[in-house]
Amino acid sequence: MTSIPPPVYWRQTKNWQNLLGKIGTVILATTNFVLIEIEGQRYELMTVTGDHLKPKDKAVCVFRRLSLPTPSGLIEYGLKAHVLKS
Amino acid sequence: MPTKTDVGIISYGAYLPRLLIKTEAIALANNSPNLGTCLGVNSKTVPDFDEDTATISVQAAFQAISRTKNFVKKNIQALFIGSESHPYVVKPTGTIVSAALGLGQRLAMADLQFACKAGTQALQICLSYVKSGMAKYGLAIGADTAQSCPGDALEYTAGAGGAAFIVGTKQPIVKLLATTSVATDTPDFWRRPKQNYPQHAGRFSGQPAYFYHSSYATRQILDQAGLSPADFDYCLFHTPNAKFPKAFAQEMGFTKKQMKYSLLVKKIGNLYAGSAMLGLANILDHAKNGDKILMVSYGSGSGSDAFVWQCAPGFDQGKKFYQNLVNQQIGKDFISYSHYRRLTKI
Amino acid sequence: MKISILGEYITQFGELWDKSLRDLLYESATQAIASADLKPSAIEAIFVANMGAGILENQLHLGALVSSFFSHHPPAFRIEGACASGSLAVVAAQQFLLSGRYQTVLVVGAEKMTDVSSAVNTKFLASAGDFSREYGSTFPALYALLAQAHMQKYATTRDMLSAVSVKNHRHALANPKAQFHKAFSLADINQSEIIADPLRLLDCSPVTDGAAAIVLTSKRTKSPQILACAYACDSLALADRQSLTELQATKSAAGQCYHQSGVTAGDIEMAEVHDCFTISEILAIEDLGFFKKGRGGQASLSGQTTYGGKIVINPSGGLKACGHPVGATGVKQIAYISNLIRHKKINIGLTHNLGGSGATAVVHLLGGKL
Repeated sequence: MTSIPPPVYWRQTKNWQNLLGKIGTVILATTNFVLIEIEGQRYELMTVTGDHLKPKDKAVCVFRRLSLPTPSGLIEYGLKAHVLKS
Repeated sequence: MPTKTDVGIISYGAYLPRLLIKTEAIALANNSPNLGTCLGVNSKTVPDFDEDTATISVQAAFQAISRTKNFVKKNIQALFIGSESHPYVVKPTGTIVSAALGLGQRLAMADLQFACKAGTQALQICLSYVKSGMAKYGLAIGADTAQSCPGDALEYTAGAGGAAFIVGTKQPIVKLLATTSVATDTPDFWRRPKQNYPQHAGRFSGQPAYFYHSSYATRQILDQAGLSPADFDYCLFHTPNAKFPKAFAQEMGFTKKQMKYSLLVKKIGNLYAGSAMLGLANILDHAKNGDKILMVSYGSGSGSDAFVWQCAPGFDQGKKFYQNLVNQQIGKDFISYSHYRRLTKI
Repeated sequence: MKISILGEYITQFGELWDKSLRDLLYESATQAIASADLKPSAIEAIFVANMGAGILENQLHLGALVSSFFSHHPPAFRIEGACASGSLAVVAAQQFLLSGRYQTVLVVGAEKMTDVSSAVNTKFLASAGDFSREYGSTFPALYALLAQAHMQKYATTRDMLSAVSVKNHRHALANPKAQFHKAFSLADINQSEIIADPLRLLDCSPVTDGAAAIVLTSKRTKSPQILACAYACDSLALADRQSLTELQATKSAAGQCYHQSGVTAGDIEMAEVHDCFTISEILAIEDLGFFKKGRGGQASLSGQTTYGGKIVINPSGGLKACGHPVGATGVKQIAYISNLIRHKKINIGLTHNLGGSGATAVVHLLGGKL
């Protein structure tokens, strides 16, 4: 497994704050992946493990690792969709 | 050191992974008696495969920030994170957290390690920054995904989670009345760089380590603040298990009632650098105007930080945003031992 | 000017442990030329379609590689458009013929996928999506979202999806080059392992090694002709699509082909469509105009897409049962239909090849001498 190149990681970090904590509505959902609408924009996001989101569910963007870390490379972080508890 | 200017907690947040494992399941897998029972720990939190100290820190801090006005986030100028499980040995967790939260670039920041007191040390450093005027607001985080060797006693207690505190001088909801620290070279628990799991010194971790340092710091701060145990509404001591803090509290003259909200360890295990921090968050979830709180952490290696807090007038007013922050995060998803092993191998 | 297909060849599709990518390219290129009854020196240029060799075996520069099979080293191009690489190579070749630059060219598509693990293949195939906007997705997940949308809007059922797979496997029984020669029931498909809800293992095309090649000429011949071809694009990420229940790129490309040729959807006798997943065949047969929007599932379930029905879809077994060596698929579709026309099994056929989750669509209409 190759790890993320540093400049790619660096560019990605600038987008984290735009989605962290934002709440959206699930449009379509499959295993571990959803199409979600957040503030009028559509995003395709991985979901938090164990969540079984369905269309029309509310979900919040949370900060998680995006892949299993390699032994020596940079750790990749990003936003995932997590079911919003009422 | 008693404080003369108003400095204290502006806001707080907490995060617990939703997965847990019962100590009973660990005992069954190890084919041994349930050590959790005698340590007073029934279950502990387990980080999922995509969680680590950075993600826990971000979520706890986000919660703290979301309960403040916009100008607070922009003026966080000190960020210190204490943990035993920073994702990198070299590259700070704090910069990952700061990027995720969208903090400003003017930032004093470093990762700390001092076993289970790294979080409270971060808190003390942030308080110093804001008190001195070197930062308008500080963000202190204590978070861990604690490691333990399979089959070792620590396997029954090492949990995961964290809490974050924003501190400042402008109308804190909880004022700092006094703080002190102690540190000596007492080798009760350590981990070398290339080792996966910490080593510990068994019973040596008790009297010469935990009890000595916690006692020193407690007596020091009570003396400085001119207070006695009876003056406090709540007390919080480090919880490596439920047994130590109860024994210590009794020894120091604190009551079960004062400890009511500081034994989360029974459900969530020892969060290491997050332990005392989360304990304080839990107490604040239940406290009211004027309540006095004694908080004494302990970190192996060894040292202790002590704080005297008082909920400010208006604390109740702000409380409508702070209902039950910690308890609502304690999950109900208990996993099997084999699932736990798969997750903790990452 | 009409472009004819002088000869075609398809290798065995499957897990070809004893064949390398180079072997597959060589076999298909030389056999296609032989089937066209030409000398190798007649080939003026080569168009090589491949998606994965750069990632999977660190081999780019495939144009030069294939050119080196020929003693006269004709100029060669490598074309990539994800799973539409094959038909895009045919599109590119046609432009050179139509311009008069060349008169006879070779198009070869090949993919070698089984030398690496399924995890590596899954990651490689995901590069056909929008890497940053669809991070963490796999192709089953993206098509699962399309299936979800279609099921929600048109009440497409689990059995309708399965019917596509059952039918394609039945068609493949008669294709000796197909990867699979096994019949399945609806229950078999319905009970196969979940991959990305609602898509199950037997809804998904396999990982396949294989190659196909065709020889194209602008000279007058009696061979099967390309009556029309069109290529259209849509946004790479699903999140940016106008619709999630139709593939606009397919509709656009098909519309252009029908307009160019005067042929209608009703004239098509057989079609090789891009069934990378069962839902993609249902979408294709609607968007190509064979069935009304939303009725593709019912048509599949009621036997309208097989022999005796309205139109035969994927007589080769499609991507699902014949196999899907990514870069070869588009060329194989054209080779298969061309061969049917050559042997007078049909007079007009259509091929439909997609890239990604429908970001690229290429449609060819082929016919015998009209």
